[in-house]
Amino acid sequence: MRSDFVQTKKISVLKFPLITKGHFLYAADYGVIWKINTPFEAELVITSAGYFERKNGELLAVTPAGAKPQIQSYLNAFLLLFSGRFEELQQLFSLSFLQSGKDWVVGLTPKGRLAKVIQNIQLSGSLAARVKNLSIKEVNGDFTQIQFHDTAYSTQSLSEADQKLFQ
Amino acid sequence: MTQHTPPNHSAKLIKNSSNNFPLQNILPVFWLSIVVVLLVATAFIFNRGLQIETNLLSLLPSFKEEVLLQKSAERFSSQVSRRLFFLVGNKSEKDSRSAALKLAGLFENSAHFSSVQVEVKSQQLKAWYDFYFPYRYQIMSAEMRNLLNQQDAAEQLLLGLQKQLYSPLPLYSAQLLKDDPLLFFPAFLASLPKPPGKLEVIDGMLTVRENGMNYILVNVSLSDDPFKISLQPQISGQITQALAVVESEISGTSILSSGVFRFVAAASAEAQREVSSIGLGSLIGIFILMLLTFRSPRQILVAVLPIVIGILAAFTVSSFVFPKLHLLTLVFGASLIGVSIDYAFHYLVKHRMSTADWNGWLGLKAVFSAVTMGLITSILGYAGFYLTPFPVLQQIAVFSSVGLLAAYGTVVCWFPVLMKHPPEAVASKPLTMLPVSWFLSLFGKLPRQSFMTVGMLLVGMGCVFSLLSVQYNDDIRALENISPELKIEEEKIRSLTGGLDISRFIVVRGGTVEELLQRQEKATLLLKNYAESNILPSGESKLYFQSLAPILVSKKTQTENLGLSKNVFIDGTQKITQGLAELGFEADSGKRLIAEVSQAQQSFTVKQWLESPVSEALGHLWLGQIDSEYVSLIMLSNGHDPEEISSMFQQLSGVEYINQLERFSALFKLYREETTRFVALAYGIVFMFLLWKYRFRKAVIILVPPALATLLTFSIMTISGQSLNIFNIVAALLILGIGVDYTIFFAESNNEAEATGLAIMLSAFTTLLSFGLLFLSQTPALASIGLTITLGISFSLLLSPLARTT
Repeated sequence: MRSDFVQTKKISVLKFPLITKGHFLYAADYGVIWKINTPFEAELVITSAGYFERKNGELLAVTPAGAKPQIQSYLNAFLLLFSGRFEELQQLFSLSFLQSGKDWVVGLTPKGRLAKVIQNIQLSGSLAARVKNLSIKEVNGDFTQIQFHDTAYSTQSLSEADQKLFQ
Repeated sequence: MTQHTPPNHSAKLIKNSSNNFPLQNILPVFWLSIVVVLLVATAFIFNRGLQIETNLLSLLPSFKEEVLLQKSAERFSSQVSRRLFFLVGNKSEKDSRSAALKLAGLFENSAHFSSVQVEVKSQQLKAWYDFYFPYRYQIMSAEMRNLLNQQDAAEQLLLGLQKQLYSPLPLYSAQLLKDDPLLFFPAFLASLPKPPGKLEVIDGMLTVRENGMNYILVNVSLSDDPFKISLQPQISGQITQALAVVESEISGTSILSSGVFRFVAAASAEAQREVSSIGLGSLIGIFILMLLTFRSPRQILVAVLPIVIGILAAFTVSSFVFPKLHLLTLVFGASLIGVSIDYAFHYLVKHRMSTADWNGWLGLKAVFSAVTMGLITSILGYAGFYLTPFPVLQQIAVFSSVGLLAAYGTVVCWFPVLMKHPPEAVASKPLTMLPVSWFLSLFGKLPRQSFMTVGMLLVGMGCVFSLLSVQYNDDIRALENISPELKIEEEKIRSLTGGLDISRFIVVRGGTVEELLQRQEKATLLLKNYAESNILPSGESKLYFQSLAPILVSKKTQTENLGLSKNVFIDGTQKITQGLAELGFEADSGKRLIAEVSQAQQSFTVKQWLESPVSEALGHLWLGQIDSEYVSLIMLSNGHDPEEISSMFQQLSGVEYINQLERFSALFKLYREETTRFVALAYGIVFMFLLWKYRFRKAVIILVPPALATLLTFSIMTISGQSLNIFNIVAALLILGIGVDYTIFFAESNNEAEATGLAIMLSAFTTLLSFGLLFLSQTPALASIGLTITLGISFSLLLSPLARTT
């Protein structure tokens, strides 16, 4: 899955929402490339091995402040959201599913340690499993919305150039 | 007839009164009063409580110039040795957590355990916040400090903040943003040392996962000294029981455990088991031997009397002289049985071989000179050990000398009364006499003495030659009995948790707290650079270390840090204020930062830090004041390279890399060498005494058999590939003490070589049975003493007829 995204993040301390735009790539078995174009440029790589930033062509592990296992379980959940592996998702969240016409919404309420950080997650889209919108509500009141547009899907395996993005 | 009548007192006394022994009416009563006093004193000692030391390391005195290091290491190891680690494993994460809580609960209910840690309480994060947040602009990570030193520090701070804020990940420290918009405090927290190895805090518990198993670490401290032998069985029992309860109640649970106590308790339980099984075996053997010789239980009881009184006296007097008796002293003390029974046997065999005109006091006269000489030479030998600076050797010297004196006193003062009547079965010779007669007649057929002298010289030279290739092993680990199962368990825990090395670490010291903290920072910086430039292919660093430097920061560094923060905030006011405003922060955020760095904070003291819960995890690294200096430690991971680490600190004063194993081995080596010299000295003292008493030729012939026996023993051990250590050398002294008894008895035997031979054979077998059997022990130190004694006493026995007078 390749897409452009707009992330709107509302942090309670800040007066106005922070908006990020960029390009998104999800490949099953690899992970997510999160390329930010505005307001600054950065390339983030999220895999089951962790959270990295590409600096001068090299992947450097980023250790955001916070408890490591919580971040790891968040990263795993984040990757799972795009995988469509509902059985595994069900281990981490209690799921609710809503459909009206072509549109669908999946509500995810975390179980276990994720519940300490995340209040709930909503994933919405239209038929054929096209993801359009991901919104994450944190326990502390912060709110993140990610809109995907110009999304393209491919069942072919990743090109060599794209594989390199994860290395 | 004797070739030479020694000018000793007993000989004169015999001439003066032909039918009586001097003071023969007073001696038994005199000795009785001494024994009564002794018994009262023994009762007092037992009542006071026995103090027995089992820590092998306490045997060692310190290098004089290293008192501070020694004290530091002792203070540290007394903390570390109390710690016990349990890894509670279960396939299910939930079950492993409840099993860990259950185990912790069981330990908390027992008085033997203190500070049971299983959960990192959520208040702890709060405690860190309360303690460190006010100082966020002066206590900071090294990375932050580097960043502040950059030209564009303000821009970089803002960019870092932007990245965190815009990240697709939730911002865990969002609530801090208001008071710490540039996220200094989270950066400080993130820079703190992580738990070692693969351990991570998951929902408040230190967890490690492997092969589908989820392990939780439970940390327990013992309330008492783990080396306290009286408590060991009880504590071991409680641990075993607690593990069994948890493993049976929560199915699928398996618990690994480690800690100094586990090893110590297993080793002393093994030692006690051995002492009782070996002791029982030897008692039975000795009993049979005596029964064969004397054919009467009375003699056996009489023979046991000096041993019992000797051991009680040795034990009681040493307990008064030394605060704590070492287990090793008691083990060596067991050799007293072998030496002190010499006197009894000598007398009893005399009695056994006598006829109907037996008189107890005349019998004493006949052996008095021999046993007295035996006593004096043995005590002279031990006296050499009293002069060493080695505490356990001093104990052994006092213990053995007192024990021998008491056994001697019992024989001399009481035996004539106890053995008043002539032996019953006068007609037949004892069965055990047969091998003695055979052996002595074999000796009689040996070639002339000049040939013998040459032969012995050759053998002696051969031994010395073989000893040129002698191997020493002073490694303390070779001496301890380490249970293999526990070793495997510890290795497993170590591989799971990536434990720290508790025998090799860095000691930092300073005349003031500030000096210590500054040196600690310098050392930590070196280690950090080393760790960062030595990354293994796995991505982990070759070195993991724990230092207090990031959380106990020197005043100097705090002042510098605060200055850096101030400069950046003031120089970059415009940029920071603008940048924060653009992100949506309150308009006065930039001004508040400047206001906050301008009110310089008086930082906390080490005392306050130690009282706070934030010192819980690493507080043991702070050793505090020792003598006139302050000391802290830096711990290193297992498997670091000692050479590389130690060479790092050569330029830094007050920072030393300590290799405890090497230090102990060096101490063992030093004292082995010293002990060897003292054995030589002991031979010298004994020889001087013999020269005063006998002519040169006889003195030599008395001393040659034990000396040759010792040489042969070490030569055989060397040829068979065994390496020697200090305990073998100590055993050499025992061979001297016992071997000289044998030769003196022969030298004083006049024409009764057979009776003397029987007495000597009996005492040699007793020694072999009581002490030589130790070579069956699982404890390498004891086994090696046992082997040395076995060989040495056997050779002494075989060579002793050389001193026989014809």
